[in-house]
Amino acid sequence: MTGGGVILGKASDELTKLARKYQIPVTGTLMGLGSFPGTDPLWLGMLGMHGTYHANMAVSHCDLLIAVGVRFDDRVTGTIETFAPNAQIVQIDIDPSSINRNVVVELPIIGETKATLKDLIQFLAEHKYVPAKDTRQEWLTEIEQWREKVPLTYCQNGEIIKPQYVIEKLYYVTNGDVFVTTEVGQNQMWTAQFFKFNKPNTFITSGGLGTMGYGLPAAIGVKCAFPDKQVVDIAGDGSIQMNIQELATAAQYNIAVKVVLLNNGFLGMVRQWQELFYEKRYSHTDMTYAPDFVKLAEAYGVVGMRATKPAEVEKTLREAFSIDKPVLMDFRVSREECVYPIVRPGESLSEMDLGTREMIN
Amino acid sequence: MKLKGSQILLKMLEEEKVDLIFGYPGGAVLDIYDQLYKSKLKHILVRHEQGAVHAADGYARATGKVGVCLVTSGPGATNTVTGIATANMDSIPVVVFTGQVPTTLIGNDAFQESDITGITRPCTKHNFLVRSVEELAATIKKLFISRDPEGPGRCWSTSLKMSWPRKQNSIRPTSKSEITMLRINPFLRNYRRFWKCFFKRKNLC
Repeated sequence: MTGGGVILGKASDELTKLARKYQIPVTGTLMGLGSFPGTDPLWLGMLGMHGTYHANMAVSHCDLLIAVGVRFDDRVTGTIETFAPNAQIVQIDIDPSSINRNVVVELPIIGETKATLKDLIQFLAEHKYVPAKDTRQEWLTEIEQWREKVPLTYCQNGEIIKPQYVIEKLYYVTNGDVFVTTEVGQNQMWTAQFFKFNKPNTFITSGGLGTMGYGLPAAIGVKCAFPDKQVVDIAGDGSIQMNIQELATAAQYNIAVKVVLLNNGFLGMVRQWQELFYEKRYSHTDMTYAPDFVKLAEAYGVVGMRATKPAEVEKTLREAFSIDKPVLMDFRVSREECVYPIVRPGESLSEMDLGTREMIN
Repeated sequence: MKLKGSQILLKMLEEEKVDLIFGYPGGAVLDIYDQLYKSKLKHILVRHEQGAVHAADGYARATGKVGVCLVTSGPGATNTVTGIATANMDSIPVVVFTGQVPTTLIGNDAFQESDITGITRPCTKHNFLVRSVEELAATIKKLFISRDPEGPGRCWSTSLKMSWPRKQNSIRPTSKSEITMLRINPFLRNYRRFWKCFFKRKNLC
């Protein structure tokens, strides 16, 4: 289990080496995305409230959990009492106050993630440790079965764009070679689920505080540091309006960030909770009254584009990336799409709500 | 050669190899912006102070270096709070320089005054109120010293905050006790001054 500490501690190489050498499946927190290659077969995806089915099941059934640079946030663990119930937990962290704070662990190791993992790799090599092949293969097969049973998926049919489809197309168009920032809410969770991050420091999101309005200014900061790289802010129509004035900054200095606006006319994540937990009483989450984002972008001196049909998505993205200017793309997406799986607050990771079968199939 | 506070700040940033800052000018930091005008340091003008901190935060997350911002006192400073809390929660190294009203006016509800060190105490790793120009260089050094670019994992220490008096030379402690008071709490000192004036006016002492 890898977290933000692996990225901050620049320990991705060591973690990857360790996992590959001993065939250890890896899951990550939101802050840990990118610390292990997202295209590696050992990568299970994110765990937690909106984690993948197989990642949550793997954590719930494993007998040893090595947690590197994580602090066991409540969105990651579900109910603490039933988190990794069968596992001995080893926690590696630089911050002593993070040990035993949320989850009581069997073996705490206080140290820099990079140095500690290096030592661990060396120790295992010196002692000629070889994982028991049969049991390891059995375990990996079990995880694979979970992955096949409930894959991370959605259903793109009809003439309405699914937000997940836009993110998958974004990955396809950019080949993953891009810095991604997000706002907070459904846009953030879909990005975490459907975009494959292969390198550390490329996924930039407000994890702990959950600050709406973070993505656009953060993207500007990243683009200033790496002017030759593509930088994308994946946004929602609620979040983007919290710091939309920064479009002027992007226009003034021609900081060519691209904003992928997943516009569903709702405060999406809050609406989802109202749908699931409050019998669809959508109290003050309808954001239909919004500016015309294309015109607004143009008013700021930024290129504005719009896509309303699935067929237009790829074309719009390709066009935006070919322009060396800041661009805002307004994707009109399915209004009441939910983020699945979801672990309801107060429930265990193994008790996920997987959404309707129709969505899964 | 005697340097002004604003010159010291820019020199220190140069020494720390800061090549880019995000900010928004205002009354209390005009001196610094005037130096910035003459300097080669790159500055990105945002449209809201929250944006400055998020931009510095994004810069820090992508590069592993420290993100730096500069804003004015009062509302400029309070507008950074969400950005600071965001960086602090995710252990991202960000340094925020805010202006502050002249030292003599601290605690007086002066124009664009806010107790920004007090407000940000729970959401920063360290924060400083610099009350004299002599303390400035050492304080700025402290902001960057906890991070060693070569030492991985050091960057878990996080956002820092510093306040900044406009007229550093205006501090003239008159007695030993006042120096102590000044160290304890600038607000107390001003209350003392207030009561002194009050009693004088009422001819009570």
